[in-house]
Amino acid sequence: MHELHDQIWTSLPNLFSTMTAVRNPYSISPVLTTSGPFSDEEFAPSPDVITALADMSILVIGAGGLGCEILKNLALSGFKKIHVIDMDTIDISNLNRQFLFRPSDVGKPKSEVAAEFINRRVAGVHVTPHFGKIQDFDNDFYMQFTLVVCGLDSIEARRWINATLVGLVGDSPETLKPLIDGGTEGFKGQSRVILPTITSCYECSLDMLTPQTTFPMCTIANTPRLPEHCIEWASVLEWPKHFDRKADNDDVEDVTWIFEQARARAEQFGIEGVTYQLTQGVIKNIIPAIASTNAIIAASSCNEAFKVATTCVPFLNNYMMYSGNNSVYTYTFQHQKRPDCPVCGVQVLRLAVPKSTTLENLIERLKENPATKVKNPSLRTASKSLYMASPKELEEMTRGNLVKLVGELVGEEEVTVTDEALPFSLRLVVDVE
Amino acid sequence: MHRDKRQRMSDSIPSQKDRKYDRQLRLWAASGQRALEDASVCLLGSSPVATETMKNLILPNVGSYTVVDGGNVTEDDLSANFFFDSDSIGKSKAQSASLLLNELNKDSTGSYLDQKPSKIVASNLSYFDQFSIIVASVSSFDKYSDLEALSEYLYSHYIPLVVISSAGFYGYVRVVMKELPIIDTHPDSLVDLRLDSPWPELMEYVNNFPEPETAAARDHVPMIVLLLKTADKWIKEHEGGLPTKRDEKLAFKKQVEALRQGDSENVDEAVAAVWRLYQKSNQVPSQIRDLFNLSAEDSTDRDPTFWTLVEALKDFVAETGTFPLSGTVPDFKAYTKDYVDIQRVYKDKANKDLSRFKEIVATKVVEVPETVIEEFSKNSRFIHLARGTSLTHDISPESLAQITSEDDDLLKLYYVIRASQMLGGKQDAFSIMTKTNELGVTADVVEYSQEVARYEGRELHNISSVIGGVASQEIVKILAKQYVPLNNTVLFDGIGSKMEKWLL
Ligand SMILES: [Zn+2]
Repeated sequence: MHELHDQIWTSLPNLFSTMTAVRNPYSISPVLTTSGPFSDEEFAPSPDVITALADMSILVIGAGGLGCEILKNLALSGFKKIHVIDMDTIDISNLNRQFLFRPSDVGKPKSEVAAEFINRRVAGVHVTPHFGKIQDFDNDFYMQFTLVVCGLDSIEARRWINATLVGLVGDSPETLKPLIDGGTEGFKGQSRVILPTITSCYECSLDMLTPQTTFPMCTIANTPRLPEHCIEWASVLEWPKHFDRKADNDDVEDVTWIFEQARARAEQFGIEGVTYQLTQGVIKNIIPAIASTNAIIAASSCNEAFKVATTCVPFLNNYMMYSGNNSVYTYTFQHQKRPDCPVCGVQVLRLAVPKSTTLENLIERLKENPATKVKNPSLRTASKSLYMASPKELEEMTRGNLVKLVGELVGEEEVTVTDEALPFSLRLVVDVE
Repeated sequence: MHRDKRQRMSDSIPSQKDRKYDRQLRLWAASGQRALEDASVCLLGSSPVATETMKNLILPNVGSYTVVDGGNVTEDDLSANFFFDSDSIGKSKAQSASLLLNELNKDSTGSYLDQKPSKIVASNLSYFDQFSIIVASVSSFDKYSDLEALSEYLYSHYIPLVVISSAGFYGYVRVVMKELPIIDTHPDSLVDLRLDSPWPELMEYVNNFPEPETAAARDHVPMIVLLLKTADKWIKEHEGGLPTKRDEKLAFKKQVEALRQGDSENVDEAVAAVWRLYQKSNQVPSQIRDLFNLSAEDSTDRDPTFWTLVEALKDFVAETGTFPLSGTVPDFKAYTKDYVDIQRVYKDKANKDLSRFKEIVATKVVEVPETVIEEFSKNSRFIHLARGTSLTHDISPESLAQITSEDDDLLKLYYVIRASQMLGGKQDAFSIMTKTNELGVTADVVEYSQEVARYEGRELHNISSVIGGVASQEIVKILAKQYVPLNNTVLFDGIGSKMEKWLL
């Protein structure tokens, strides 16, 4: 008896604080319990909408700069069942914008620290963290959510989740999971709404990405001009000569080694500007990131999530760009679906190549083409394997085809391109000119 | 990344602090960071739009800030505000908000004042003199006219004011600043090749450039050499100088293209850069000419350093006919030695211009630090002066004249929101409509008035966070005196998912 009393007593303050702390829907109730001149005609304003929002499961991908903001925004907009996936741990350079993390959290999983913070600050909201890769979860996992909000910095991960959600679409309407995607770079960013199979998808707009600067190997090896050339020389050509392992770009000693090699080479050639920061920027491909831009993009994404989830007013169709470099510039437009999109399109991709093109040339083109961006592809037709990147035995067996002319090898046949990094295959017809 | 940024980065392994702020230092560099850390911000209000703005300033490490608000936290205040929790209920808003904001970054120093902004405006306007910038949430004022009084005071004292507002799906940012000079506007490129008027050392370098003897050497002739040699030949053949007419320009381009033999990446680069020959290095851009005319105007509150440099630039341009050279060259195909040599020719000229510019600055009354002169000299073609207006200018005829007949013109919406705020923020549609018309808006505002009325002045967290993001971006630009800030109003329509901006 005494024990039970103690138990109740110790749990009481907790219970009490949870009860009083649950935040009321004061902020969202006008727009959900009334309608206005711009509300959708079918929208039925009611307190039930608030309840439905609280019952809905929503998935957040990424607990970084955008992710921290997204979690806060959803938690303060009436969503209560939130899941978050992130594979990263906290780094000191995250602290200038990832506001759910403190210096003592460095090294801990982002998803867990972020979820714990939100659950503590916004009582009544339950964030479930998943420390891992999005690729580790199966279709059943993704099927449980009503919508997905993405705050990623990786193109590959975005292509994967986009293709996965397009693949989930079946006969019943619940299988269509709207994807809201945000991205930032410095003072610029964009947010967009993707209705898989219905609107333009992430893959449809792949060619809008600014191509990553790559330096020709002969320049790096023989005729460097820029400090970047010296850094690439040190990290790509020199490092493997001295070490059996890959360089750890977050390790001060490894970065220092590359920096010093690069600086020595720069001095030898009279090139100015090799610094530690630049070295790190080049080898890690660092993109500047600030709190304010993350706030703008995450909040506009969550505003769309709120509108999609409640249908209270029309949502974004389908792309908004923001730039703050020169005053404020924004552009809202409808990005068009690509009929030959390898993920959501219906047509095969046609590629015109000159007669002299070898299979190796074709693979190079697929790597460079902004609309395909494969890394290490395998190619086959219905009748034969053209080139298999792995396993080793198959690679060796098909390597001989690389020097052969595409026109002779393929003819009019459709080519299927697969890549380890992509969850879908690309259908291609080569037109030899 | 801009190539000129890297010189400003430190040359050694970064400190713990540099690592923490690494991702932003790559944008505004150590100079911008120092300006931010020297700044003090006054935040009027503690509603979501106010705390979200402040969050984005504390994280990048603004030096200090003071949260000013009166009254205590209620259950409703918690609904959309991340910087109140259940412990805040019943306590001072200013104190509670600053307590949770303080946790964000121990490097930034926060304090609070438990007082209504309207009261300070009424009794002690000089309180605001201590701050670098004032951020004012409209809803924190008892009356809109108190905010207007504050705006008038700050405007005349050259203290920037950023007005923020959020209700329902709508929000806006209104920047009030009399004058803000910016030296480093981060143009797309500082490249200035002077191909239209090469100086003797550059021509000497080009004329002495050896004829390539191998195919490889031919593919490595720098595009600057290709262009200037072709131009030189053209000028000799056509007594009048560089091509001016369309057909001449086409013919010239053909001559450059004719240099192609095989792969010739350098010829591609030359063809792509032909337009640089037709740039007019001796032309003074109109916005700089305006600055030259303004510099004669005198006021003790103006930034004396900037205006001294403008005076000196005016003298430099009068003397040389052009601007100090930036010394920045783009990347182009070349052998290492040739690239480095050309870079040196441009750097030497830039240094020579800089020395002359420093001499001129030294003749002026105000003393200017060397690093500032250097930065100004390098950016002189792109310096910017933002000149704004006070809040009262919103209802001037020229501001109202910007309203178009378009149904979805968001400027009409701005006036509807402003009207509702002048009425206290919670009014019926008819009163808002009537007030909007009183302001001088004749267009149809029935729907916007109905929509604004149903919000009852309540903030949606997402909209407040968008506005907090936009406002903090502008505040960072103003404090760092880099990039080009908004001048002066932007509105976000969260239903149409779009923004529009105006100079009111
Ligand atoms: Zn698609």
